[in-house]
Amino acid sequence: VTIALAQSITGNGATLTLNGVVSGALLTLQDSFYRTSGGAVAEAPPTDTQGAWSVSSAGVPGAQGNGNYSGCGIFHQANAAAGTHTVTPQTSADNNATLCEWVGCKAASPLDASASASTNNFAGTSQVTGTTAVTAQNDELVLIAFGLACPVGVTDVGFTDPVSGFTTQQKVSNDASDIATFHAYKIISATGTQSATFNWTDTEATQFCGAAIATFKAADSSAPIYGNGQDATHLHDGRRNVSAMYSMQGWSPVGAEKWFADELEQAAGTPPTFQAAWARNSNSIIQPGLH
Amino acid sequence: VTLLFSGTVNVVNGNLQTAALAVPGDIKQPGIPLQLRLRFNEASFPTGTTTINAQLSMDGGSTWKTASMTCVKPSTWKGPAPHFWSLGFTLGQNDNPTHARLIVSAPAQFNLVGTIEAV
Repeated sequence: VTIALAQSITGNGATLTLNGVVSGALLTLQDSFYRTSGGAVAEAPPTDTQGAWSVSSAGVPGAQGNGNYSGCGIFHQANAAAGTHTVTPQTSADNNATLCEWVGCKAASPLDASASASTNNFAGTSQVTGTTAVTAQNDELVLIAFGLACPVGVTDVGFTDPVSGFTTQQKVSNDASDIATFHAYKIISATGTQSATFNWTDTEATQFCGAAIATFKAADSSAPIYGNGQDATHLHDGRRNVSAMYSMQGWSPVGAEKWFADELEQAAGTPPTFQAAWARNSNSIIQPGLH
Repeated sequence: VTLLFSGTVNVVNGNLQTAALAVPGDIKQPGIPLQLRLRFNEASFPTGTTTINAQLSMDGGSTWKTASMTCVKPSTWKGPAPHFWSLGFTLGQNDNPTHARLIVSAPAQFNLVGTIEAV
């Protein structure tokens, strides 16, 4: 299934609202923050008027050394409810957020791999995200986030844009009166470890920053595992589409509805008698265990 | 970048709905989402919660898709002023917005100072 961005908001307000979200979509939030209290702890998930959010990747932020911190977090809400989502990132002294609706990702447990990294009080010009484990699937969405601060700062830290291989979603280059922010994504088509490096040109001393990366699985392809193919399909989250199975021509065994209701999620153990009935009545190929 | 609006608008009684601003057809690149980008100086905002709604239409202004953000004053900021509330709104890469619109709801009258761009 192809992963696609349906809509996104970037902003620095207390709340961000997406309207017209489709049922089952994946919502993601990348948030870069500057914190003057709260300590060296990872950012907490945002709240939402519909549904709960989970941490995708949120590490310990970079520290200035006097109680100020800068970093980022990546969060997600799988199988989102349809309609309006008003999302409130964790309160901080300053933040820049990117809220996205994606279609084509798994509805159940889409998060695959993640990593994060941070650097305290330095004069460097790059920050890695850390490297994830090998992704579980060929086709996945990869999100990255970065937050950089400095006590004085400059109006343009000189980001390298885009980050190699990624599409930029939000870039804020000012870390004098804002938090320097970089949010981006890419969609991969082969398994492997994932990482990214943010680069900039400002060599000012006492910078501190944090970066994160997370990958999300695409939904299963609609493999024709049963039937004559014309209606055989899976739901977007990989479960069997019972309605489509009922509509297949030449097959209507008595009691099938109850059987499916009871056994659908345990399909690996398809009863031999049912398997035989299916084969007799539908000229279908059954592959028990695929679901 | 195409500037759709720049300047000051009086938000009378705390409510504003701009006219539909035409998005020039030549700035949308095939396969690349068009972003509506708003940026407003926070100094002029009234105390309390102001809601900014960014809207995009793909049918000449008949129907609208909306993104919104709340701006709470007083708010903390890093570094010295000026500070800006910023809001961006992007649809899918194959969506082709024709018009943009801004709706503001604030607790009191104020002068909104900023820019609206299509990128």
